[in-house]
Amino acid sequence: MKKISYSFFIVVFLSSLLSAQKLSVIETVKITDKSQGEFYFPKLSPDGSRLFFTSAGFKGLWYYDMQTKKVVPFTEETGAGYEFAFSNDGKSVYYRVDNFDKSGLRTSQTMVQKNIQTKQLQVLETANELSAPRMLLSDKLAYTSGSRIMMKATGAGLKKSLPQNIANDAVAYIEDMNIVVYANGSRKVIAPLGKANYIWPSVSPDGTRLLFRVAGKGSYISDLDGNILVELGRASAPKWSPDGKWIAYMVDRDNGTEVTGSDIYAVSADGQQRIQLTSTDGNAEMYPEWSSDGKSIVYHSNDGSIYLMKLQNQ
Amino acid sequence: MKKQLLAVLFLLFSASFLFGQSLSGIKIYINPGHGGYTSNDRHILETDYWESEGNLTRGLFLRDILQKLGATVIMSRVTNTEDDDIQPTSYIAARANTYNPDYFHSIHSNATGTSTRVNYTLLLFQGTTTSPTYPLAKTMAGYIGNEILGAHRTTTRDIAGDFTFYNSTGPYLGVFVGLKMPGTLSESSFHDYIPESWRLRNQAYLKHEAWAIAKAFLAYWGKPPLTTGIIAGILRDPDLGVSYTSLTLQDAKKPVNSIKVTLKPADALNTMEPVVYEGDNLNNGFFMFDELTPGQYKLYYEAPGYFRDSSTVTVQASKNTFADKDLLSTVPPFVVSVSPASGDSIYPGKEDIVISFSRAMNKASVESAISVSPKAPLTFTWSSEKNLTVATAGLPFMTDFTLTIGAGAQEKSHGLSLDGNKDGVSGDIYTCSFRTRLQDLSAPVLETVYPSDNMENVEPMPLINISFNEQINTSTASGRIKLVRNSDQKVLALKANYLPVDGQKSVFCFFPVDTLMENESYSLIISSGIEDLYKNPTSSEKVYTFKTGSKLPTMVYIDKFESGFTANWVSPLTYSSGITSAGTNFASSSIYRFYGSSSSMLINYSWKKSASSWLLREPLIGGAPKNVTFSNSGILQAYIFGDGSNNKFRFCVADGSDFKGLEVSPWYTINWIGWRLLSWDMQREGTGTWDGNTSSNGILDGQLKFDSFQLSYIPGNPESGFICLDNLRAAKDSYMGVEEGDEDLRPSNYSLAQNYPNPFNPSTTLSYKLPEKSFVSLKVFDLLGREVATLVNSEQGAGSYKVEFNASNIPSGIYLYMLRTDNFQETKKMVLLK
Repeated sequence: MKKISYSFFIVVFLSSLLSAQKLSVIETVKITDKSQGEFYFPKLSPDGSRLFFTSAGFKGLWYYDMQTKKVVPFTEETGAGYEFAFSNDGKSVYYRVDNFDKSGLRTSQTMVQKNIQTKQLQVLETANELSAPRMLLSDKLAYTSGSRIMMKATGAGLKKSLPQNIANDAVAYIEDMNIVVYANGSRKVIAPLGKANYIWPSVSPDGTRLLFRVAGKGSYISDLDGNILVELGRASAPKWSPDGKWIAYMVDRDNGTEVTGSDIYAVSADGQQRIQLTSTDGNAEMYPEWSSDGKSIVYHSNDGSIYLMKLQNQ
Repeated sequence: MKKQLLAVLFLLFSASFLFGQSLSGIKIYINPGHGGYTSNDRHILETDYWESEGNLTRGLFLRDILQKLGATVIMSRVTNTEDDDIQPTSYIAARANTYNPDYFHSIHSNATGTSTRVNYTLLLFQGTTTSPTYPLAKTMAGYIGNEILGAHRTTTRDIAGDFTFYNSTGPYLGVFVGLKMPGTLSESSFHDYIPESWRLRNQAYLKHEAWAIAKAFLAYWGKPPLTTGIIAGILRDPDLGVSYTSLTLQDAKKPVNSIKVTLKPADALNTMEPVVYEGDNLNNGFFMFDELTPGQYKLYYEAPGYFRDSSTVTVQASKNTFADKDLLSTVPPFVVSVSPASGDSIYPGKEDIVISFSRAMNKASVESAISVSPKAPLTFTWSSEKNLTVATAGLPFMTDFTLTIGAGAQEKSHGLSLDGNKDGVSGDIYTCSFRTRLQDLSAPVLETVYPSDNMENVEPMPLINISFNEQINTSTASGRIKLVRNSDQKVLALKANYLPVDGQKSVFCFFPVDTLMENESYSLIISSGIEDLYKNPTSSEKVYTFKTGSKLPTMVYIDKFESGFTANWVSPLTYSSGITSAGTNFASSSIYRFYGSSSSMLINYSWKKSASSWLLREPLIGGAPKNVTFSNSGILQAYIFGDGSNNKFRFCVADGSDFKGLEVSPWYTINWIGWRLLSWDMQREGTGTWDGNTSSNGILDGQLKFDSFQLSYIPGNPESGFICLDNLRAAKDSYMGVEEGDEDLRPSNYSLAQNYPNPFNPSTTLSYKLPEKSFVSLKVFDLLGREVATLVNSEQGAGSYKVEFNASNIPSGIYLYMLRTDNFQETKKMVLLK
């Protein structure tokens, strides 16, 4: 009897150790404030040397040079700040530009690559409508044009479209209310919770799980076939940590018209641990993004300031 | 076969001709604001309107219209359920971004959230008003704003960037925070403005707004305007009003329910089938016909209980044609009111008879149907088609009259004759009776005057109170009531406040503009020639001489009854007996306010005559006033606006070490009308008795706090009335300078007094007064202008100041001392004689 209870305690102890991943905030640094301009939607370059962000309405891109501590303009193009992506080698930024006619009406969209150092610009495609770019782990660029998925090799062969069937990467988009998963060369339309409004879909870094939010219900992790694995609760703009162990998200509050507050949280990918990373009354912290080493989260506050939060991730 | 194909082609062509398919290839995201039925979904109880519901209905109508015009439309929601409720606005923007539309529009209606009522149109876009994030969104805001203003006929339209409107540094509206396309948010009208709230419950009204927004989209993309037009309107009853606030004369009329409007082409040869609109019973009277080919139409209006009516209207492409109509009731006219009421007395020539009819009347028919018995000449004036004034100048005094309106009196439009007994059936007479008064040939009589003749120790800011036994023609009092300083015969400025009381008496309250001097003799002179309303003048001059006291006591204010004071006082219903709850209450009054203040405390009282004892207690329960302590040897004072009822008033204070004891002042009879300073000199007058109150022992024990005002009834006096109270304070028995912030006792002018003593050795006192806060420098110079001493060099509050100057270190001679403030400078000489 005594022996059994002893081993039982060991099991409990071990399992708590196993799931006891730790995530805590070491410090939070305000990177930009109003005197430098009002900036939103920050994202760190893969090597962490530059912090890119956009202005209201996703107009243009700027970056904050972590060494010189200066804000440098990068592009003025309209729409460039919306879900821009870095090449895996960190040398280029991919973004989508909205093209307008003289009167201000949108006419088309262009996918471009811009080299951070040389500022050299390369146009990939102009079409009536393109999705935002996604960088895949296999160093391929993906986006949709109409209902076609475009997978492009980066580097020298950038302009060359790859046949979809050789693409082993997984990427997810929303098309006509449903989630569309492109994986292992096939296109699959899934609706994990049936007919609903899906948003913010993303495939886990290991390419096996899908994270998304459903209007009026919450956020979920499913497998790539749409079988629900974990229910995450009310998590807006959720983002996978690079190691796939955590999801950072915001809990934003509003009265139906105005944002009344927002805080950033992280939840373990098994849904077991939830950590509040910001807690302020007067400030609405929004749209967290992980650094590629998983040791920082950047975000903007509602007044247009950019923050960098250093984390201890054990 | 070929023929069939042609017919199909023709149909396709005409459909596309009608709508132009002009938005084909354009993708629009529509966000009906809010969602569900919870506290943030903006419910108006009175009309049961949910903004979440109205927004969705408008959104769905707009989707249908835009789709018909060829656009691709994505909705953020198509239902109004709990699931729709918990979407954060970030989700709405993210979803719009995902769908990558050309334009985003969010549909809302507005509310003030206060008791203020407005009804304008507001359009918001991202950015500052002068520098929008997407310039074309501002253009679109203008288009939508103009179209909604035109459709809903709101008072004005306003467009603004959300940064500017909410004074934020970045995107403020939740839906704009993460939006990556041009977008607007419409607050079409105000759903807490009740007439609008009822209209927003009408489906056609919401569809009309959808058309307005759709027209703006056509303009936005430079597409041809609609080839069809709209007829809309509201049917109202011009003779019935609404119980809620209305911003326009139209909205003040009661909308007609259950209307039926039939539309036919004006051209009898046109074979178009008549279109029938059947209205709801939601108090809006609204109707609309849309997608009408331009041309002339006839409208026929019907509603239960109303005469049928019609209009001819012209429809223009892409325009709203309004066809509002006042429908006239089939209920016969009746007399709504007669003033003075039947049975009342009338002073011929002074008081006329005003008759209000329920409907616009045929004036000639009414005038020939009116008579009085005994017969007397009458003259008529109509202030409107419903309101007749019968002049009484020709009626003899002291006579009983019967006034009759015969059934020949008819309403104007359909000739329905009078329903004198208001039973819903035309054709009977209306009568009322009145008696003419005794002719007034007496001059007004002065009843009370304060300060009374030969009164001493009058406070330096007295409330001069003069009451007459009847109403006064105030213009005859002008210049006939004067306050004179006897030493130099200077006439002092007064501010007057005149109030007729109950139609029987009247009172003047005067407030000296400047504080009176101490220890001075003043005369209040009331000249002859003050007339009553019947031109009877007073015949003799009256003079009341009084003397002011010598010193200004320091006041400790307990409550000045300014903004927000009511939170510290509790309803008189809580601790009172012998009152009726319906007529007893307290409130902030801005009408009966003491001069220089913005409000006072009003206590309305109503005694229950059948009770055996009567005590109204109005207690102070909290806030800063509750913490004010004062000495038991001073004077407790309040300005009280009396109603002359001869009912009783007293103060009650809390005493003892823990302020658990209660003591009252003697009762004071409220035998005055208008303002009066009532003082309880605690040491001299002692306490009154509070029967049955065990907390009272008749001794003012230690420091005091204020407890309550108390009123009581003496049978035979008026059972209801009111008093107002202001500036409750305790005057200390020790006399000192003036406290800062004490408005009443603050000096009215800058002054620098002669030093005392003078000549002096070695010290003298310099005094000066400041009427306002200022930087003050008081310096001493010799005759060569060299500075000898700086006595004051700092900012000081309003008040009287004394400074001692010690000259033991300087030689004998003449010196100058100079007072210098922001707005004043004066120099005086003094002599040092060692």
